Amino acid sequence: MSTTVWLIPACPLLGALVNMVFGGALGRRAHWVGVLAVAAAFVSADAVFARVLDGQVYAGELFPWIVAGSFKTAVSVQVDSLTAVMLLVVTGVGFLIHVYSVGYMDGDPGYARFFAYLNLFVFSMTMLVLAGNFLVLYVFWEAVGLCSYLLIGFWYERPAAAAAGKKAFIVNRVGDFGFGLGVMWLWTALGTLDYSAVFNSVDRLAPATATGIALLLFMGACGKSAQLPLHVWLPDAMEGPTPVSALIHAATMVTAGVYMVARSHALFERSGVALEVVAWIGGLTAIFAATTAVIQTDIKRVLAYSTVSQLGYMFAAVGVGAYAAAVFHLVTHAFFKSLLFLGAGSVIHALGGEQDLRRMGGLAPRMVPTAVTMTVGAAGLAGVPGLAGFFSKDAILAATYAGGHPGLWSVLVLGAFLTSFYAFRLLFLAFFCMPRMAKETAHHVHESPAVMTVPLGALATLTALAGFAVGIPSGAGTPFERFLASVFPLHEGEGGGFTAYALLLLSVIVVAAGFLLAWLMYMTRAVAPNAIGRPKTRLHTLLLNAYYVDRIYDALIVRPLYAFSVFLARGVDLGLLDGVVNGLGRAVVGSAQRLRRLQTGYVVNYALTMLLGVVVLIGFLLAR
Amino acid sequence: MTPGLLTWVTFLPALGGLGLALVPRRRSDLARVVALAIAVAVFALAVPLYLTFDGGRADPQFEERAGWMPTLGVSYHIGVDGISLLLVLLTAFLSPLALASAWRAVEERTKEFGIAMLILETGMIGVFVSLDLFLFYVFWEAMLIPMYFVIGVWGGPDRIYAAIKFVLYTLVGSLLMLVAILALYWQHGAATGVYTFDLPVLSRFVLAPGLAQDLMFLAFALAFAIKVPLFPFHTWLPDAHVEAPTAGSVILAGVLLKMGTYGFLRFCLPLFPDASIRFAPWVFALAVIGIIYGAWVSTVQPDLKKLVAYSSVSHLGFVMVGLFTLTAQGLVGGIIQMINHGLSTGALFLLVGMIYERRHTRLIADFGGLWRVIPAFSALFLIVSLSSLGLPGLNGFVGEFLILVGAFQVNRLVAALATSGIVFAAVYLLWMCQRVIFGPVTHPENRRLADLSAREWAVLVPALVLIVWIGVYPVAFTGKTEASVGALIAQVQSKAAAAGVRAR
Amino acid sequence: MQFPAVSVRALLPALIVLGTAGLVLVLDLLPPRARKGHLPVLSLAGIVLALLSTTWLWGEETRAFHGMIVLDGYALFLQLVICYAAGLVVLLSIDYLHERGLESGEYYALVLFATVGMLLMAAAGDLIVVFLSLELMSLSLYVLAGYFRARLASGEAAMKYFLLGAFASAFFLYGIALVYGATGTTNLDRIGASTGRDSLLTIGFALLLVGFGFKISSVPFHMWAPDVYVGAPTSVTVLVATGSKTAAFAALIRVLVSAFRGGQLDSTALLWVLAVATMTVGNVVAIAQSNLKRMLAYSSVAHVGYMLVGLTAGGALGAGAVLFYLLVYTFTTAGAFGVVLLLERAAGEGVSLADYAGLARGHGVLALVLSLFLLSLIGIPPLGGFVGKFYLFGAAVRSGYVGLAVIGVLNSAVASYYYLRLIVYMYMREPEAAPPPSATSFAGGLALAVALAGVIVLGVMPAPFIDLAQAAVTPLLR
Repeated sequence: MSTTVWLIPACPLLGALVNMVFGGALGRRAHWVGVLAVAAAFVSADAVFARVLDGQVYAGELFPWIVAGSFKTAVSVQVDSLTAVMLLVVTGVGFLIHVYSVGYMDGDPGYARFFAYLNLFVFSMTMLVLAGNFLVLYVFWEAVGLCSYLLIGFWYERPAAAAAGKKAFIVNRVGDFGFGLGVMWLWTALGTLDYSAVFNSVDRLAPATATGIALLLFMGACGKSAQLPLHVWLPDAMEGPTPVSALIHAATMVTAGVYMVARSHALFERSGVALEVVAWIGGLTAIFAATTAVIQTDIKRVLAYSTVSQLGYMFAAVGVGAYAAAVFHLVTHAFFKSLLFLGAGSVIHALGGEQDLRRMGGLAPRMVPTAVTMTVGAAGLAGVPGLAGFFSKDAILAATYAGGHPGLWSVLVLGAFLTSFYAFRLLFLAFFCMPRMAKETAHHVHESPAVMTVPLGALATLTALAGFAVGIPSGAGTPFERFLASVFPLHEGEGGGFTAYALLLLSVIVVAAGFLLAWLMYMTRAVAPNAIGRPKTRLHTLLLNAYYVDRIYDALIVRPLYAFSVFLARGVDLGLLDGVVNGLGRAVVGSAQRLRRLQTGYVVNYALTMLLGVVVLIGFLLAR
Repeated sequence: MTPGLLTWVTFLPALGGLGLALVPRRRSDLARVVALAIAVAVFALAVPLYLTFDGGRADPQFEERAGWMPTLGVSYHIGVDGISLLLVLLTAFLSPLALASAWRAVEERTKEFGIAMLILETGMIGVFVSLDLFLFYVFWEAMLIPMYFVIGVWGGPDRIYAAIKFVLYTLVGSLLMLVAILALYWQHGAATGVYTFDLPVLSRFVLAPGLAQDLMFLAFALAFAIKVPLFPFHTWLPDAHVEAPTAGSVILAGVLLKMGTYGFLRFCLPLFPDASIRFAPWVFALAVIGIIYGAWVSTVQPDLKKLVAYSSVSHLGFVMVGLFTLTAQGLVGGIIQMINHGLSTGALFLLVGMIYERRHTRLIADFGGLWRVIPAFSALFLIVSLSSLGLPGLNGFVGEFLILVGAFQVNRLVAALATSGIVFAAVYLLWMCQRVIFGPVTHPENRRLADLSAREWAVLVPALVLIVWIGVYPVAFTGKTEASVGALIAQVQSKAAAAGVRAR
Repeated sequence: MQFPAVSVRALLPALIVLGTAGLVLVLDLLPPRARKGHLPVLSLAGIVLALLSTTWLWGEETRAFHGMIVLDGYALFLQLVICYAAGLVVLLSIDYLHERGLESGEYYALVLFATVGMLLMAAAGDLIVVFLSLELMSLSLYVLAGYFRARLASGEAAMKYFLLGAFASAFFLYGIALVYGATGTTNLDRIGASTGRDSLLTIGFALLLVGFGFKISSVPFHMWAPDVYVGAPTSVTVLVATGSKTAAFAALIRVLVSAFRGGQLDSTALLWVLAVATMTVGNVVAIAQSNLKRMLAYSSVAHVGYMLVGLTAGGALGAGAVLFYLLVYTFTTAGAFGVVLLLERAAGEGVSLADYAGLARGHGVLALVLSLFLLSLIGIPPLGGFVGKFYLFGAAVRSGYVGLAVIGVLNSAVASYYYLRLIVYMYMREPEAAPPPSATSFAGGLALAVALAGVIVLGVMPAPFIDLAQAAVTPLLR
């Protein structure tokens, strides 16, 4: 198993290196390297998954890494059922997106560079989930951040793209500030960073310490998974190419926070407070982002806020202890959200770069495969019964309710309604309403090539079937939960019975309500382009601007800090500190000029000075 | 006494410099080659030091000792331990790179430039290998002069001001240290009857805690703090960096600043453990201010070199925090971070120098969109920036993380504030990258720049290799230092305990 | 009263130089009168012979003429220094005078007479001898200072030097009288042996100190120095700055140690004040100078301040440090002035800072050599100046004068500013005019080479010289 496990990150790493060094020579053939590398990783991941299914686990160490005194860490990996699931998602969805990119990025001058970065990301992400200790996790936690930075800013000549990449990195760094401190604290408290050692000895931590560590780690998760208040980078990250949005900013990297918290659930459970915080941050983010998503007009921004919102659901689930449900939602979300992004990419591709929902509409007849798969995706996101999203979201809602968080539950239900609304709103506006784009654009609308639509189909299939396959409760939990039972112990028979059915029904009603509202607003009559997303009330304006969080940060942190830094550089550094130093020098030179004047050149003066010296000398000696 | 390997490593540069003087003045091409060849030879001599150094032993290795001024107790005593080994290597490594970087940049008085750089190298290596306080001081001061010439003769428009400021500032600190060295010498002599400047002997001497020790500590600390530079003694640095030629900046940032941190480690901690522990909170305070202040001031610098210069204040703040934690993690991290800063900031200066040679400006506003024009340069610029901001997998992370782990055990507030520095580092470095290499090409002059030449690749690649090597497999380097660090901590703590003060 | 036995040995170095001086005078009168080239060679030979005699006499411990002359290790060490100074002066003078057409026998004779005075001062065991030799030296120097008769500044310098020197001598003589009145003797040892302290002795001592203070140009008796240094022929300036100071220090230390040690009066506080005032005024005012000779004059005042630090520290260590420093100082100062002398133009021009702009381009070697002397004056290792300062401040710290040492090192930092500024001019500025004609002077070059060798050897291998200085002062303190 050892070799197979190492192959998973090794293949994409090799692919990345090849494309970095020989990318120029490979030119249009660069994708072969990239796609095959990920395909190989996917095959290896399958093999590993099969072994894990047989009940095997693996832990291995490559070489000692950072060692100083009693601080000892190694580059180590471990594979259990959670890892196996994550690996499948990362490599599987990653593979499909690589394939899709062959079509989407065709003709881009940075073709090889794109695949190099993408492979580098797959390498980093697989290592992130393979990591056997917190430090390796931290390393690849930042490494995926780097890939995200590089890929958001892939079209570096666009100032907005470069700025968005930087913003993503810095906001993530803010989160990592907490994450790093959490790791340090963890080591200081327990003397180890290995998962197994840490999780076996969490009982040694005082609950307050556990709370501190857990919250600091969660700060990192907030950054990576775009939770309040560190969510601001994700909408901007849509400046990156759409496959990047699908892979990194929807399916995989942003879920790393969820993975981390789920992985460390023992630690979080040691501190009740931390779990509570996670749950509520998740819930608030879910509703916050959902409300924002309902009025956005940029197709990718709708999806971005939707992602933030869905991640909130996952955190809410983790917070209430429904780890398996959270991971399941992570998986299904990876399917339908990457599907939606790729579909959106297909639309953008078809419209020659147009991303504005106001100038879309009526695409369905012209792009049948895209329209069909997007419908599946939107329905999956909305939680239409039968699709994967329904099972996973419902599991979260049920767990929240059963876990005794009625307030949180109601928030999430409201969020579900909004989700359903904006999912269908997007679908209708793009595909089914009257066309609103310019004639010229409309004329050129075309379906994307097969290399793009086939991955869409694959993801749609997964969205449609995943829930049936592993998401239906039978006996103790769903098959999915049972598979993860070695990591997340099963909770015995909570829920069920009447309550469960009532909740289920409520979910269906909520989804239907969202659909209905969207239908009434956009399908029953022709909508004028400028009516969409136009702020009619203050609330609209607030939502359209995402509660002005960016502007608040700008006004409260960025600008004051910048002004203060300018003051430090000019006033303090050049003015005060350098002034003191130079002033000292000037004072000496000045006194030199003054003393020099005593030297008059007159002998009499010299003699008088001498005489004075004599008097002083004698007086001094006699006085003693 | 026949000179041993370490003596050769130390004095070969200066000897070579004297030999270089024989090259006819007109043959500047030959002078370049000879100077570089000597520097490379020194590095080749230094590599066996690393290879044969026994990381398991804490005491100095390759030790050499000879009488010098027996009446005064001064001897020629040199050696390297795990703390100095890496710094010697760093010096031997960066010197040829610096010389090679000046290939085209220094057109005038090429021979003299080579001589100055080589004498400088002897001074720097001498500082790191000296095990006698007098000898140390000789190297410490002697190295000022070639640097003074490098800045003052081959520097930018304001070079004279910068050069004099550099020397005077440093001199004030180090002269006070001289008085403290003398005071320590007499105290030790009076107490033990042995009058000696030998460092290992003096290090074993337990100085009574009190005002005398505090003052001596402060005198040493001032000299080193100026060199580091610790806030608020840093204002010579931006001037010196900006005015120095690229090679000078590389050496200045790469090695000279380390002499300050090394001084703290080698002298302040073992000689004045009691005072070191007592003043640690003050050092932490200044270091943390330096970390944040340096980063903030960096952010708003319009000049690339100034930006990098202020970033050194921030980076060296980390090192200081690490050293004064007196934990194995903090010290090992601090030492590694010294090396890292030498590599990353050195490489940044090299890159800035290369772009300066092309455009004769260092203003950030004069660039933009360089990736389109010179992708290789831009990619390396980005990688080095990432290494500087402590991206895991590259060298900077290893040092910073260890330092912070060390700090966390001692003082959580310090650790938290210092950690905030990594956020700000990302801010100023990435913003710099954004404005320099990303975005559209805003200045037509930038459209026709040439990408890296073979010589420039040759200068940068060795640094990049180490940047990645340390990041991925740091044990190759930390393994050499650990024993010495452990011994140092034990010594400091036992001495502090012996002096009646409970060590933390 | 018995006629004292004449001990030639005790006077040997002085006698050799005196004989040479006589020979020079005689030869100057004999043909060929137009050519004077042999006179400096002869003078130099005499000085070298005297130098060799000091080494031959090494280990000697002779008292002659009823203790009026004491030839001990201390005297020999300083005589060695003085011989070096005189030798360098002669070497530097040869082409300097030749170029200006002012060669003459009396110049060299006067230099030799001054040297005789200096040599005797180093061996003086009696205040009367101190005074006599001081006057022999001074009178010769007064004349030498005015040697450039045609030059107004030269005459003015001589006049100032003479007037103020006479003033100081008067104080000195009066001091001797008072000391004699208080103790009934002028012999240093016997003054030292006399007990009791009265104000007569104190005032006498103070007046002696004034005389010495003038000769070593300690603040506030230093004001003549810059004017004389600038006005006098540069070769004479070298002698005034090195030899006469060494001699004055030689006598001062012996007077301090033999006659006024501990018991009668404690002069350390006074010396402390003098040291601080001298180095600070010297260094600070030097900053404001743009004439190199004037700057070096103030710099030499400052160096006197450093040596006073050694005197303040006292003891064998302090005195030994001063001796060693005198050795270093002689080489360094003679070397620095030597370069200035070689670059000086005929009419006494070319000695301003601006004249040195870009010197390194035209006169690379001279610029380098001058830089090394300046760095030694700053006290940068591994040059002699550093070891000298290290030794001086080490002595101060040893005796508990840490504050004084701190003031001393801060002064060094201030001093480095004006020394470095000169280096800035030589290396970092472009020449303002065509470089001065290359000065080819074999003798001058030889002098610089000797001085440079001294500065480097004393910096790199100071151990034997430190031991010598230490050995020279230790018997004195018994």
